[in-house]
Amino acid sequence: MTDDGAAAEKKRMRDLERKFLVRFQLVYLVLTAGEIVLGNMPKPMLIKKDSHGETTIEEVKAQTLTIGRVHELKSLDPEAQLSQLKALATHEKLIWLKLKLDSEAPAAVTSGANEITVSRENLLADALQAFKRMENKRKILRVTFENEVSRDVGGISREFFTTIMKEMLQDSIGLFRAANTEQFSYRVAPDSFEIQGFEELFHFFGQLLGKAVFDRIPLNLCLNRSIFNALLGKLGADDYTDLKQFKHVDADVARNLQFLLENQIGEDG
Amino acid sequence: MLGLFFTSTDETNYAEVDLKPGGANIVVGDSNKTEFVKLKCHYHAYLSCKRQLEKIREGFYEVIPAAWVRFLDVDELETFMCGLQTIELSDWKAHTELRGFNKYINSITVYRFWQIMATYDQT
Repeated sequence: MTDDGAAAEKKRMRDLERKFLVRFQLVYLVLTAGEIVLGNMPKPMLIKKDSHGETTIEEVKAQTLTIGRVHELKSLDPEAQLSQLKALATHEKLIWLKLKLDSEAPAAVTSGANEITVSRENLLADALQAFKRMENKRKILRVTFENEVSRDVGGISREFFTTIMKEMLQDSIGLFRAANTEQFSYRVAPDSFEIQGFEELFHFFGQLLGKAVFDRIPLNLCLNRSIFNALLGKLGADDYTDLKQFKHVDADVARNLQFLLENQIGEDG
Repeated sequence: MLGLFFTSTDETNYAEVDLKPGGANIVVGDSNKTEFVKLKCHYHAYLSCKRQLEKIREGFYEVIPAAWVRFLDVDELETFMCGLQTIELSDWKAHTELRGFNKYINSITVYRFWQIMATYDQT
């Protein structure tokens, strides 16, 4: 056999091998589809609160969300689904959320990208205007910093997020302020409504948070519990009956109120 | 006598704000103090910054509809968005993969690394 022949033979074998592998994988997928374990990312865990209102993270025996279970959950009506979802372990909820984001991602990704150009000196104002012009904020974000030659494949938009978040949280801007909590956190500054255009700025901040969730960019910032409560729509007075949780909003107020509850003050105060 | 009424102080202009209608004339006593606690918490966390928080929500829901996250707990949303606030050193250590070091031979460099990490606090 000539060299050419040997090479051709080798190539044929390689192709065959590849074909077989692909087929094998397909069969394997079909066979196991009913019980494929979704998401290897989050560690099996359960966020729990102990009697002091402290949050503890407990590793749980790996319960897993299977495709069958996901379909079952999807077929439920919204109310039933909500109550079932609430009963899941933390890591399962996070998997569910990731699946939800994954299923929405293609629609956003295929419709093009939002390309914005901002200057580093005037970052906040530029970005605010750029976000205002965007119609669909779920599209991929590609950021270019003015006078810098680089292509955004993810790294720059991450940098954009961290820089702009840092800028918005700065004391000098006055939108946020350090809260009275054991673990450092930023709360909305109560007097921030005096800032010109505060509504736009907070609206923009919310959009950034949403975009970070959609793009799964971890935010390196500590926001106060009150902000997360607001995002989840826990806004009624009845969402604040647990004083032990309240120390994550304001530790001083929580302490004072705890004192009030634990001591007899009489009927006339 | 605590002289406590169903009011709270506005943090911007130090004016008294009623926690419920006519709150300035309702004395807080043993029978209604749980209600007072609830209203006070609500005021501090939400009502005092209502306008700002509503705007943040509005912006957030433009990208992530409320239905996508409403089954989550506050802690869980926080974990998803910001990661865990505290780093569990033993956990980190247990899941660290060493490259260029033999894991069966204790290396002084690795040992020192973990020792130094243990001296840092969580902030």
